[in-house]
Amino acid sequence: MGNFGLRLETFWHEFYTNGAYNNVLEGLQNTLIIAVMGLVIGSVIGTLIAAVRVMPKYRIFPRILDFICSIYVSFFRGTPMVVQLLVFYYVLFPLMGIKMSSVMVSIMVFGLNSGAYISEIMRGGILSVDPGQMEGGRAMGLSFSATMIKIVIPQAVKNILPTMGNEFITLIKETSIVSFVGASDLYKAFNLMGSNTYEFMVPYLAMAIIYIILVLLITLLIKVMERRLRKSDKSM
Amino acid sequence: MIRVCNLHKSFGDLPVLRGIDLTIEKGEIVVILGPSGSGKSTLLRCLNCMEDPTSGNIYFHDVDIADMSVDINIHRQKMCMVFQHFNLFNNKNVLQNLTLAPVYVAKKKARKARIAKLFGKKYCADDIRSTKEIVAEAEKTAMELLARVGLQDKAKEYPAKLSGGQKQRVAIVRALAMKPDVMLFDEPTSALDPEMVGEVLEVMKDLAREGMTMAVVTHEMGFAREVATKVVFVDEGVIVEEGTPEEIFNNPKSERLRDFFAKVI
Repeated sequence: MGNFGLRLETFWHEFYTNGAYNNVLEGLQNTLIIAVMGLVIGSVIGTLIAAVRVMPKYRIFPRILDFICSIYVSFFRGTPMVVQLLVFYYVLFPLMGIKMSSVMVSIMVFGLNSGAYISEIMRGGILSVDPGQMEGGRAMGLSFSATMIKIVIPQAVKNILPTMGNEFITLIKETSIVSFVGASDLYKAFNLMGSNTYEFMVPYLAMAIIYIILVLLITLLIKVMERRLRKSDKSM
Repeated sequence: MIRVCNLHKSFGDLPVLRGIDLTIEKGEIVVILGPSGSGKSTLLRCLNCMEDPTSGNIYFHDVDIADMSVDINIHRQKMCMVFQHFNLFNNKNVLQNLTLAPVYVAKKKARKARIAKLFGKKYCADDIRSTKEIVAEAEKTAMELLARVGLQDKAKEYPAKLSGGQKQRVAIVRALAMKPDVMLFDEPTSALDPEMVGEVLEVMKDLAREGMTMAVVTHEMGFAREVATKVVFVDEGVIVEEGTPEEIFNNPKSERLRDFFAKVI
């Protein structure tokens, strides 16, 4: 540790004077964009899939939908995200002739992947809501989907918020793999700094600290949201 | 108004209803009695197809609602149900509980009418209203109904803050907000503390006096005796006896019914 001061100096010189902070800011931005957009897309997909999976299955159409959804979920949960990223970027999109930036592909893959996980979280949330809520809505003549949207899902979301926070944190951390397809995220920015200065200790330490700060901020945000959503539960 | 023909219902291999025939006329108050496990709740839940009948027909306004191709939601809007466990919407306050379904239905009607107008088809001009009007009217009706059961000051509370009796009274006016033709009560007082049973029964008696058609599953013999126009005794999935309260209570014909009364009264 004797030359830590020197290493710190090298780091600061590279970070500030040589302008590496631009890369870091860009990386931070991409990391957040990919994680947030991934979570948004994932929530939409996940909610839809969860609704399909809890639908009553008297008829053939919901059964087919259910089958498709189960294939989707088992594919995205059954392969590592790095593999999905590589397959989409280097195999699927070139085959289909689609040109997309690596950040866009990352957003898509993160969305599709977290959709599979969120669908199961959401399904658990929906099942945790008293079945009487669905009955109450249906008995008033509301359709299955209307009751789901207005009554059941809002209550399910409240129940799964802590788990969703967990999912968001996982997504933030998983973004460190997007450099596999050349997207510039936090990892890539700090890695570049290390390669330029032949000094990896401080950059990686700084990277870890930034990730921790991000995660702590998210935890705080979720706590605030939870408290606000809980206001209808307080009994006398 | 409701005519049930040879209704059967089984859960898997377990037959619960084994051929029920029942008619409910407009203005009648039918009380369904029976020991637990006799199928009385299932019978009531079959009336609005909360449980799909295994076989048989249920005619509501001469439409067979047991037919799967019928849009059950439209019919349910006219036969509202009150549950044992209230089933108020926990994420909505009392006022929203009352207005949710009426607003939804009115909005849907307005949308349909607008589309019909657009394509030059026949439509009812009264149906086309702005969302603002719909909500205002629903809220006005809701407040009147709440005032009727003495809960107007609870309009902004969430269900979690109400007592059992208050919840059930809200549930009853929530159903009333749909202006139903029939009301189905599934053991409305069974989950209540004894001291709260009275307030709920009072609301139901009030409805009965106004001529609301009702089908009630209950263990409140006093209510059945006083209010019912017809009492139906169900056991082991069939109707054992039916008649006026006097006939049933004063002069039970079947051994099983006498047995039942011996245990509960």
